[in-house]
Amino acid sequence: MGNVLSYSGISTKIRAMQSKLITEAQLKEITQLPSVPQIFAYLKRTPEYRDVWASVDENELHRGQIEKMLKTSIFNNFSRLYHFANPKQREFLDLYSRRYEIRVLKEIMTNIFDHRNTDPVDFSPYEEFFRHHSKLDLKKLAACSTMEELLNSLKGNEFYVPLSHIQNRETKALLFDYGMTLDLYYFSLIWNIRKKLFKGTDLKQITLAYGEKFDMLNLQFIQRSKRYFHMPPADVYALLIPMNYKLKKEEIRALVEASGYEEAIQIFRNTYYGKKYQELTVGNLEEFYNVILRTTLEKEAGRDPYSVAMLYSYLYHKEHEVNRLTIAIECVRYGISSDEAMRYVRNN
Amino acid sequence: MIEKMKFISITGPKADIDRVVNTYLSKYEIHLENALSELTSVANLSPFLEVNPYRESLTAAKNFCSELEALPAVSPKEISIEEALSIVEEVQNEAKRYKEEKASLEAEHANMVESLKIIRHFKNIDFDISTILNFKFIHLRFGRIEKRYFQNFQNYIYENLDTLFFKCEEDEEYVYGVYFVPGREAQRIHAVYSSMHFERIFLPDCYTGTGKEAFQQLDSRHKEIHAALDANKAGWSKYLSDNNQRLVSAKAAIEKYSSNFDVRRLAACTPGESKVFFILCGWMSEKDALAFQNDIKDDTQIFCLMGNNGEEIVQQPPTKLKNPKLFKPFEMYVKMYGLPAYGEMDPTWFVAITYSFIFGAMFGDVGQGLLLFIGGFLLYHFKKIDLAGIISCAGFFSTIFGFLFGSIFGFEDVIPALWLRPMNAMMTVPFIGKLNTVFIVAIGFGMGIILLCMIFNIINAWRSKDMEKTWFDTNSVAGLVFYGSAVVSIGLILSGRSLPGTAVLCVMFLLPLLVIFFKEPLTNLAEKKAEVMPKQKGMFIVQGIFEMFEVLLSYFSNTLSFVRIGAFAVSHAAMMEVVLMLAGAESGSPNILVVVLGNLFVCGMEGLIVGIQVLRLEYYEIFSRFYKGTGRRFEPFRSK
Repeated sequence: MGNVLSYSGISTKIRAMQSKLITEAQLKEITQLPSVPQIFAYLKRTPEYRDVWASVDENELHRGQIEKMLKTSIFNNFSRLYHFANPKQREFLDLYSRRYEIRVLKEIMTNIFDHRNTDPVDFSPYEEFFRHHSKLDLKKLAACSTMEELLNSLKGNEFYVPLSHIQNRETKALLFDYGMTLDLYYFSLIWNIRKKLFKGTDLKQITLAYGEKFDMLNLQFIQRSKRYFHMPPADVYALLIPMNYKLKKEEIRALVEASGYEEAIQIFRNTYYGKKYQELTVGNLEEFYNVILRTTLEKEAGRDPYSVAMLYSYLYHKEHEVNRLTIAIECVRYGISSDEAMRYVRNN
Repeated sequence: MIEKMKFISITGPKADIDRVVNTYLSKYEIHLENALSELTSVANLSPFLEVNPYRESLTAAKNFCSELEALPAVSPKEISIEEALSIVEEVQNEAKRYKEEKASLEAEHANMVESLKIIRHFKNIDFDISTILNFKFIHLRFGRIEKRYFQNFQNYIYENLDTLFFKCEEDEEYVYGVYFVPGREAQRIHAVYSSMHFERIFLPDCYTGTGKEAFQQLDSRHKEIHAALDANKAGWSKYLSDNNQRLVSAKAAIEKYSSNFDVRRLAACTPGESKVFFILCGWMSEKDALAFQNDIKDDTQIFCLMGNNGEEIVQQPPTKLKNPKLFKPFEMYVKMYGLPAYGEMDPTWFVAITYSFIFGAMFGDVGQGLLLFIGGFLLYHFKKIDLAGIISCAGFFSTIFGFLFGSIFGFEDVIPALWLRPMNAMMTVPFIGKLNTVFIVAIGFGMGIILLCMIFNIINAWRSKDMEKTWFDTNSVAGLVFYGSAVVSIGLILSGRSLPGTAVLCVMFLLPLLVIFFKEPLTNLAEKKAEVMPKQKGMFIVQGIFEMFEVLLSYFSNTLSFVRIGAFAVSHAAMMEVVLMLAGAESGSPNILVVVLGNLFVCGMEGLIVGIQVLRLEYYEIFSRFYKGTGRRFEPFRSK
């Protein structure tokens, strides 16, 4: 009963916002459009983008700028939800917003490791958002040109400690190590803090949503590192997220130590996920990750509309929409047929 | 009054300079000038260069004294320079001893902290460390693993690996421990560990006993060092505080000698190889100069030359104010505006009289005036605050005006008004109607003051032989005639008499205005310059017309500015009436507390406002008419 009361407002708000998201039918129409400016004009007529984009002239826009504007809309919607949320819900949103921080940090680090003379990262879409929701000083961070500088300017921030450990290692760290460390830090934070922040249904749903996500990610890591990179087992173990939900220790060890593809498939079939999703194979794991995550979220949000799953689900869908639109725009730009474009879109 | 100055130069053998400075210049106030830049007419003078031998001791003494700042201040005792130098040397030696002890302790500390840091993580090892490190067939590594990797390591790897991991300690980020592997498998297993990001910590073979013993040993020595460092610090500060008095005295003595020595910077040397003489020059008040000359009559070594407003002096003499004790506090206001130049009139006495008088008129109250008078006097007497002296004088006049207005602590009905009551006394003025008498009187007083200031200006300008300022300027004779005529005319109208004929009026008003209008050509004419009229006639006339407008307006507004004297007299009475109303005085038995608080409030607030307003009148209406304030201060080499 308490949940119904505390979530009734934001749940209604989310429903209203969710109804404005671009549907698959609309995406199909978009992929059939002949040029990028026309997509922009199309989007300008949708309720989601009508008000914010009204003053922008589509003929002067570059594809990159549209992508930036789409990104901005993610942050704007997050802020709108944040305004509406009560303190308890804000705790979740604060936790979730770290994901955006990590994304920006990764962008900056990519730029640092990229030795070509690239343009500095453009933060205009995030600036407003970060002022309210983050302790990161974007201007200062963006000015850094080496990892040492970046670490120095991160001092005092929560991300400093995990990142600084990498510097202590004997081998020279790569972009991958830093990104991975940030992700692992974020995941362990969620996993460790969830019991403190949430109770009852909320806790159950968070555990379910993130538990499945982590398991799927671990499966993906194992599959990629074995199939594409032929890494020795010890290195694979080092990459895994140290949380287990439905995957057992023994299963993971067996998968990592498996000598061949066939053997791995057999082991996988016997796991929780192998049994639950019959159509899931080692081969389509990558695409399926999105599908599983989405269906889990949709199902939970549908079953329990007055819970934190609703928030998580909406935020996921919004990002998902932007991803799909970005793909659609790319396809139109490079003149890919509507059907093929839709296949790329659906895979995401 | 400005004290009369004499320019004197002292010469003597070069080696004798210290004696001269210490015996004579410490006795008399002298404003030294740089001899080299002053005596430009004398050729071949060279600067007096010598390294100050006291500088190092002085810096040391100053440093020690700055460390003493936390202690209560003591006043220095008179001691000889030799004693002072030996005190500083003694303290310096002591400081060196403490510093060396501290440095050796710190070095030991730095060394052991490293090994302590390492062993701290492994203090759980209950086995002789040295023995472990010398194993032959078992390889081992000390180190740490990040926690999340350790979790994966335990979950997936440890069981199937031929290794023994001994966990020693864990903190928030890392698990510390040591692992053992059989020699022949070592390479493979080292690789697995490094995949799990095991960070090796190199353990030097310098520990005795088990991990715990080694840690305790180091730890207790570590604490000992800290205690010794604390003792060192305490010992030094105790030593300093014990020698507080001596150090302060030594510093004062050295400071004096050092600054006496620095007189050389202002001195010059005569040319020559064997017999070199120094020259010092500067300003002394006439009285001091005569006494000084009398003093050195018997001194065969040195010779003093007194300039009689000599032509060779380039600079304007410094200004030293000398006023009777009663006026002295008001020098503060004059200094705030700027010291009078040597030869200019010192306006202190004028400020003292007008300030006190105007303040009294604006703040007429017997009770509050007495309070200001007594409070200000006490503060001035004991604390030597100049402002308090000014307040005291102002309070005195305030009391007098209190009797004239018949007001005591706001009560208007206790004592009779000897003159009038500012609130009620009215007067009928032609063209305007009924007006408080005090306003009219204030304006009349203001006119008088303005006229007086013009006269001052004329005198000042006459003295400095400035044609324009004497005859043609706004505040000159022309201005005086114009403004004086205006005052007389207004007086005639007010008293109901008829004005003089048009011809006379023309001479009185038009002539001075024309003179002011043409002041530049007139000045040129009087000074017999070649070009009398400026080149651009049109520009000259337009500028002249605007200036004329401004002049007339400022005569008018400056006069009206004096209304504030009357206005504040009225407002003071009105504010006190409000206080009494709040206290309920009409019912017959006023609330004493409200009366007291109200009096204090009005006294404080209005006193402040009136004080500022009068100062504004002084600076803006009075000083600007005749006073420049471009003098420089008399800064004695050593004040008495």
